[in-house]
Amino acid sequence: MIKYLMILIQTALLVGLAPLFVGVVRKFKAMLRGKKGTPLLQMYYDIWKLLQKGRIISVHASFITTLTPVISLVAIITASLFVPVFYVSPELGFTGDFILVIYLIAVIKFFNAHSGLDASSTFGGMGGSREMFISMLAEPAIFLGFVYIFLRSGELNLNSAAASLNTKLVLAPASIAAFFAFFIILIMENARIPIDNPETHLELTMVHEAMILEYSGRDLALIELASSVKLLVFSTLFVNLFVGGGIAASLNPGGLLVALVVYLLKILALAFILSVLEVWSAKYRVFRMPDVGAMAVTSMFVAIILLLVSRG
Amino acid sequence: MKVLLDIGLLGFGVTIPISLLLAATKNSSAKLKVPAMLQLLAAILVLVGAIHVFLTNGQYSWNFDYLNMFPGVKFVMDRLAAFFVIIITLVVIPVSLYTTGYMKEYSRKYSLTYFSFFTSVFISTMLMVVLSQNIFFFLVAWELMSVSSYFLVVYENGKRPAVDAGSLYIIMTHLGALFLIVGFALLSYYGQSFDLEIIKTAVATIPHWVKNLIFVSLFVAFGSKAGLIPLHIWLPEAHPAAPSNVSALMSGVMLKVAAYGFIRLLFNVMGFSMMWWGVLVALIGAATALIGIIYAVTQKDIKRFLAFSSAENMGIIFATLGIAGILSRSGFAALSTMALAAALFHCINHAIYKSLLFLGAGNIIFATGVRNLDELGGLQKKLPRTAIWFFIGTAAISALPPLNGFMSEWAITLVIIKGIKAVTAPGIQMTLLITGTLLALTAGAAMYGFVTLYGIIFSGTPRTDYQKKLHPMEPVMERALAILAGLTLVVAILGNWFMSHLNTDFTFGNMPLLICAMLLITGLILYFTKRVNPTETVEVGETWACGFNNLNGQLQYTAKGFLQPFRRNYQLILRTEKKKQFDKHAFKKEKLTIEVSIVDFFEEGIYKPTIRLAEYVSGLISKIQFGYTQIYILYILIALVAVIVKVLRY
Repeated sequence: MIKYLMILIQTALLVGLAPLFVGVVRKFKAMLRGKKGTPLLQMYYDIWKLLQKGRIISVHASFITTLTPVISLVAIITASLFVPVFYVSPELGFTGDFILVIYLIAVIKFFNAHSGLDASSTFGGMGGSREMFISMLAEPAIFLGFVYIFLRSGELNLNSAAASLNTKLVLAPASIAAFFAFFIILIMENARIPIDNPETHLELTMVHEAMILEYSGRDLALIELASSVKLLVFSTLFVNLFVGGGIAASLNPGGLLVALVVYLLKILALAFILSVLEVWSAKYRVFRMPDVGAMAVTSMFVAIILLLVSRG
Repeated sequence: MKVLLDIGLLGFGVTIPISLLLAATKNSSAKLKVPAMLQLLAAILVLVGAIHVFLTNGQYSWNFDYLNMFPGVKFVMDRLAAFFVIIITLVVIPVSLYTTGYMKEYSRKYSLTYFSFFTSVFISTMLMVVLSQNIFFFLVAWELMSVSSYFLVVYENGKRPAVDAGSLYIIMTHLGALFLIVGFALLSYYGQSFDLEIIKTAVATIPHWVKNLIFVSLFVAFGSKAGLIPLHIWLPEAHPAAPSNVSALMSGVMLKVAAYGFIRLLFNVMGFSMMWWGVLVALIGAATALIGIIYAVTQKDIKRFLAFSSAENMGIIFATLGIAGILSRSGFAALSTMALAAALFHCINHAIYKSLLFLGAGNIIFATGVRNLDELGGLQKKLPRTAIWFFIGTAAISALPPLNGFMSEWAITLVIIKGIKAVTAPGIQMTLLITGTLLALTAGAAMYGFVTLYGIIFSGTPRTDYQKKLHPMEPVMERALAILAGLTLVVAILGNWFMSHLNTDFTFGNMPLLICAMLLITGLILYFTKRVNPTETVEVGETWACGFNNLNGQLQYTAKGFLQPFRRNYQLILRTEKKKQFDKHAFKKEKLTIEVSIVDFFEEGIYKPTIRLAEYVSGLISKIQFGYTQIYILYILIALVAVIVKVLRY
């Protein structure tokens, strides 16, 4: 029974910690640029402020604009129910639940792209077309990522896979290639530099931001929260599946606490790497995205082939 | 239970002469509604019976022995046939309902009797194909199915494109039938019978090279009917040319009948004997899927888009069937059954949401008269119900949870992943990896394409002034769409339980629990945000257009623009041809015309050279035709002497 309570605790942690994660990334970026930066809790203040405000909906909008913010947040929270954070138990998932997680994230992309076209604005169409294009390029890499995880851990649900990968060596060549590939996938799916600039205010350079340009008030708060939870979900999957180690498999409080601390440290390190990448490089042209996607696919392919060769 | 099936099947048969008899009446409403309602009722009866057969793994058979006619002809409904009968009748029910409203537009110009007659023949012969145990009757029913659908494709015989599409269709389908005859002839020769059960026992005695030949013939036959490359060129012509309810039947059901034929003959009767068969089917299926969606996405015509997407999904189904063959050959029987179950599940899902999309396209064309994507826009305001059902259709085909498309994508992905680990031969692992990657790419591209389709047609504002001449909608057409949209959700919820009758590995976890969890979370979010801001104001304003206040429909993205990154990415396959023409006249303004068209790789690369080769060879042969009857008599004499000599020698 307590195991199922852990699902709620882990999900609440993911949803609650997500704005803080974004805040940490922004703080690191500011520090690297020699500035003081916004407060760590700024995103919480932003969401709270937006929730208090009224909404303006475009006269051309339809049910899609009304549904998208709630559906985005529901989809990502449902997905985070299956993601192992610091405690794993095989009963908390089911066979092939990682496919469900990825397709729930696809639901968010689907609805966001539609809401871009819905308001009859050029920027929405532009953002939607770029976002769909990039997500199409990331799909094969994600599929190969599933194959890699299954080959490496021998398990088909996220919890068991994380438990199994807990003890496997990270420095094997296959792991490094897969690490690199999934990192690229993380950036492509979450609209970070060099795929998309989350800080831009120039509409012509936007991808994700352009689709949600028309949202205000409560809608914008829900979408911003959903995006940050999505980033944290991907980061959690990354640190637990591709940089294994430190996850608790049993329910004793000491072990859980240690696992939680290890998780937070891993996430912190990832935040630092993300911010270094964001400060160091600029956004790529849209037509360079296929190259980035191909890099991810190739690295994953290499990882899989290395695994298959070493196994057989 | 058998009584239900008997009455239902008889009902389908009876519709054929009734629709002919109704030619006598002047009441066009009766001509349309009576056959359609008969088909609806018959379909419901047969559906119930088929579900019963499927769930209980029963078997019913019918024969004509009591009439002392057609000895040896047997119709059998076993579990596999029952599944496909379920698919057929499940689609026939909403399509019949739809027909009663949709055909009113055609009643003035074209004959309704023609339509009802050929539709009833079409549906009845499809059922006959699925139920046939006797391969001769299978062939007869197959031919009747092709011919009746040809007549439906050229229904609007006043329009040249429809007639041309029909000609291409009938030629391609007969090419397939030729290969079917070859395959069946070989099978019946070795089996010494026309009965599939008897042939099944004799299969072990067939020599290997003959088995390969049979496989190739049957694969070409069923593949061309299903729309696999390179024999798919009739699909994008025939499906758009037919009226939308016929397109739904052809795309949703007839293609599945081709898949049924493939499964029945290659898995059930022959047993997938060789590894290379599975590899070939898997790779061609995956290639069809990718090329299908690449061409789909570049179309401006709604129905051509949907037709190419049907080819894409049939590619997915055949790729999964190929994988099932590979796995069964490698000795993994349980995984192979799971792959087969996944392919079957995709069959029924595709039938549901493709029919939904085609009927929706029918609604759009009925209301606006426009088939070009880039002229539409903002239709959601005028056709809100069609918009919602069409939206659900595009969400289902993009494999979004919790709808049915997601369930079959989940199953197929899982089977491929398990297969890669299970199989040890490196070549086979590579095949599975490549197939899986291509299918993943297809899934991403399909979502991209269908977001465009709904978004450009229904969202935003009109791009031209087509909304000034809107035709009022018949409510029954929208109700038919609603039934299909509801089915996408119902099949997703029941799918687990239903498919577990085929293979117990197929458990998705708990779909109803998932849906409840999602609803609960939605409720929590809405409650919380309302608590935080009870006095929230919602205003309606104009869209932000960067400060300009003259936002109009022309500023929006067109389908071409939305898909431009995609087209640029796949330039290797989508060769474009640009023609520029600059006209300068003394007293008129200068005019520059640029025409960009996509060169169809298959038409230019494969079919046209083949046709040119055939013409060249015919030209060479025609040199012996001098035009004098005396010389032709000489040819006949020579041939006669040669035949007599040969016969006397042996």
